[in-house]
This record gives sequence, structure tokens and C-alpha cells, in this order.
Amino acid sequence: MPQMGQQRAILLAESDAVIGMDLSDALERSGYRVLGPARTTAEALRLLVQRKPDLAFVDGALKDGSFIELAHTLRRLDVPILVHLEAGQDQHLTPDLAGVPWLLKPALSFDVVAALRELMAASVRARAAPVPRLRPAGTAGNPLIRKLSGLTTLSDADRVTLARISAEPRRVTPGTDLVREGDRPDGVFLVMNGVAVRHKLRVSGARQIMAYLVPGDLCDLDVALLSAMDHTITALSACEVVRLAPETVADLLANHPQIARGLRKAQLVDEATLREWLVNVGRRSALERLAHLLCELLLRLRAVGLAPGDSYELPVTQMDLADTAGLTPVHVNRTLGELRRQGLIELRTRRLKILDLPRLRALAEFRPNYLHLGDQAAA
Amino acid sequence: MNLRLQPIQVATGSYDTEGQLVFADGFLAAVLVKLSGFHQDMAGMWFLEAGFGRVDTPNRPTFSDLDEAQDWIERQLERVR
Repeated sequence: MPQMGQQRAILLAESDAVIGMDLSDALERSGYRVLGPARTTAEALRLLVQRKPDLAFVDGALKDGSFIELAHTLRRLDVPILVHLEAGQDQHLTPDLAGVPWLLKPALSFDVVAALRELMAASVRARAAPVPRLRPAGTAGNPLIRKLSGLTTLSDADRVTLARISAEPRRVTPGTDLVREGDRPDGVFLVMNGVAVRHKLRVSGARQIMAYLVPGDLCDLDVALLSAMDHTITALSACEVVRLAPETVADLLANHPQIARGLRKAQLVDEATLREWLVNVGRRSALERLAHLLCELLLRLRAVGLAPGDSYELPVTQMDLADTAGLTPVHVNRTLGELRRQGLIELRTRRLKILDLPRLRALAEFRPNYLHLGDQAAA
Repeated sequence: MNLRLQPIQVATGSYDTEGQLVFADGFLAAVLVKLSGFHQDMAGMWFLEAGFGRVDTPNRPTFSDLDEAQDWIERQLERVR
């Protein structure tokens, strides 16, 4: 989703140039910002990389064939879709797109605008669902304080400072881009609740997720030194995030030595984690990759008190896991099935329970040294 | 381009075992596997289990039927790089 307070953007992909222009005019008159009209899948995907729309209206007969590919990419990015189909074409949609709303060609602009308005309203209602309470109550549950306490020795004054700067998180809906590739960075994001990811999107629509930010994590301490972001950070689930202004970060680093030490160490852990993920996508099998990721998340979430009884919320889809581990959703589904079959995990309504941690660790050859958790990792 | 299919059982280590070898002008170009009921909303679709040469891609697609899969494979083979 585009950042808050902006005009709603709609991706318009229509093979017929005349219809495309007509629809574009009608949508602009109705207050939308129109991305396009794109006449091909490739063009639509390029637009998508530049800016993520709130909605998409997609022709089922784009010039270069695979409209399905575009629809899947939009799905993956959590963008609601309305499809423009020839009579009978709905019979040929892939099963996973069978429920997508569609209009019969040629649809009147009036109907398109009305249907999109309805789709937008439904999407807003769905997104208004409450944020899952991942965070235990009370100040002792502040994930930033818990995380940094594991990395350094904080004084009471440090704890007060950290509680103050993280006191007013902003709620964001799933799919919200916190900062996009190409944007000028403006502060450091701290995740207090939920899961956000760093990712890059290819023009083909393929996405690679390079990091998960879980509660207590913040990104790129020195990002203010850069003139433009080289990747995008997006809330995967509903999240609570705090944006720390560059001055706040500078103050923490200059005037609070123990906090600075913890933050710098956290940054080294982020880099070490990235190295481990590189080994994952380059040199581990599908089963080992997912086992490794699930072990890592357990320890990271345990460090902030969010993994009681070796179980934790995993508010990600199989597509997200596929884009994380460099697998296909088919392989993710098969692999999770295999992990279940071996009695290693249980996954129910996005809550993961690790049933046999020693065996899961052995399978993944998981060594937690790179997380630098000290004694916490020994458990 | 002449594509030919040959049914085959594939040991994917999952419930997905029904497959097709896809030959292009006599050369093995791809292995397609039909997704089992285990995949719920993707059940019945055809998955590019393996592709060779120009048909090889890290983002292996799924197709609603064998015709769509063959169209895609032909496009890959005809693509000028």
C-alpha cells in the first residue's frame, strides 16, 4: 500500500489503447491517480516496481500473454484486483484466481469505477482487522529493551530512554511500504509488533526477501548517510512501528554509550544473519532452508519474549516463505508438509510450534553463534 | 517447434507424482508435474518441476492446464536472448 495520506493509486492494464484512455480519464475524474494504462504485462510489471498501487484493474487479454503472471504478482503484493474478461474466460482462470472479482467486456467506465470503489472499501475493511497482540503487556515487554539487554548492559536511565523513544508506535496495515527503493531515507524504522521485511522486486515481478524485522529490530542505523534507499521495507503483517528521526539516532549514538553499543552489535548481527541467509539460498536444500529459518526465528523471538513453549506467531504466507528462501510456493508447501510428517513442527492458523527442536536444529545444521545471543541461545 | 508429451511418474518426495516429460524437437526440455490435492487452491495445476536450457528459471511457474504449460514452454524456447 502506498504511504498514508496519499491519493489512491490504481494500476490500469488494458490491451486496447482506446479503452485504456477512456478508463484512465474516468478514473482520474473519480479522484484516482492512474498508473498506466499499460498495454502489456511487462509494462504493468515495470510500473508496479516504481510504485505499488492500492488497486489494480487488469485486462485478461494483455498483449504479451501471461496476465496470470501479473495477477499472481499483484496477489503477492497484497494489491486487490478487478479483472476485465471476455465472455467465458472466467472458466479458464487458474484455481487460485477463481475468486477474483471480474467484469465482462466491454465494461462501462461507470461500472468499473463503482466496482473498484467497492473493492477498495472491502480491502479497507479487511485491513482494519485488529493487530495481533504479539507483545506482552507492561514495559518489561518492550521488545527493543529486551533485545538490547541481551546484547549489552543497560542502565535504568538507558531503559527509560528506550521506553521513551519507542512509546508511540504507529499502526500500519499489512503491505504498507515503510520506505521504498529510491526514496531518500528519513530516519530509522523500529518494529515493535508484527513482521516487516526488506525486499527487492524484479521487473519480472519476482521478489526476494532479504531480511525479516521482528519486534525489537530496527533497520540501518546509519541510513541517513545514504541519498537513496537501495531496497524496500514493507510490513508483511499488521505492524506497530516507530520512526526514529535521524537526530534521535544521532543522540542515542553520541550520548548513550551502552545503547550505542547494543545498537551497533545488533547491526553486526543483522549482517551476520544476512550471511547465513546467503548460505541458505546458495547451499542448503529446501528442507534445510526452511528448518534453518524456523530455528532462527524461534531464537530471535524467544530473545524478545515472544516464543513461549517453542511456539510463535508466523504471520507470513507460503508465498512470503518462498520469496524468503528462494523457493517456489509449491516447494514450500511440500517442505512444510515434510517437516510436519517428520514430527518436527506444527503450523496452525499462522502459529508455528516446534515439536522437536534438537532434531530440527540437527536437520538444518543450525548453529546460533551468528545471532550473538550469549547465554540465551544455549536454552 | 514440435512439442511432444510423455507421461511419467516423478519421485518428488511428495504426493505430486503424476508427471509429463516435455520433448522439444526430440530433446527433453521440461518435466511437468500435476499438483495433488495436498496443494489445496493449486491442486490440479501443472508445475514446472524442472526446465532445461531456456526453459530453466528460478521462478518456476504453475499452469492451469497442459496447453498453457506448452504455450509457455514454446515462448521460452523461441525467446531471443
